[in-house]
Amino acid sequence: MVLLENDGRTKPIPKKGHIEGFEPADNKCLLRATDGKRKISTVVSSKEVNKFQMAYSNLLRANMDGLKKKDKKSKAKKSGAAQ
Amino acid sequence: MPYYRTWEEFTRAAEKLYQADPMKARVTLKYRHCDGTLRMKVTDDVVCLLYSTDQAQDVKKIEKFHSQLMRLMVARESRSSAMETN
Repeated sequence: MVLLENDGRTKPIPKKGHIEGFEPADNKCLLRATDGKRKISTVVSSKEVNKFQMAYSNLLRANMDGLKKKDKKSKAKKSGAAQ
Repeated sequence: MPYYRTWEEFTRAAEKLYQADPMKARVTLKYRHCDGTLRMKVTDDVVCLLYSTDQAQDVKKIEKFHSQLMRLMVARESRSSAMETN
């Protein structure tokens, strides 16, 4: 299937002060992501933050499947050793 | 800077760093599929905190903490620090 070299990099940064002049009400969060070739970025406001986080966590959980599963083996070993 | 061994230590230090100067702190999340590693970095360009894992169960923890920090950035210190910078 697809060769998934998914290298998501995100940097949330609170927005810098100089734009705050005409937008004094709420803070925003800048996010950047790159796969090494393309870059994308977005600014999330406090209203959208819940919506964004839902989508973001779905993305993370769906794609970060290259990690080790819960160490069943070591647990089995431990219980085996205990017996 | 070395990697933190425990997640608890890392989150405590990271939160402290963020609270010290919210405008300077930034968070980086790096996932490498070919290595099967997930790294989280919190830095203010002076101190750099790192945490690395290869466990799938840590994704949830990291994601939770990440969104916690993001909510802090968006919600709190909104007026007070903005006033100070002005």
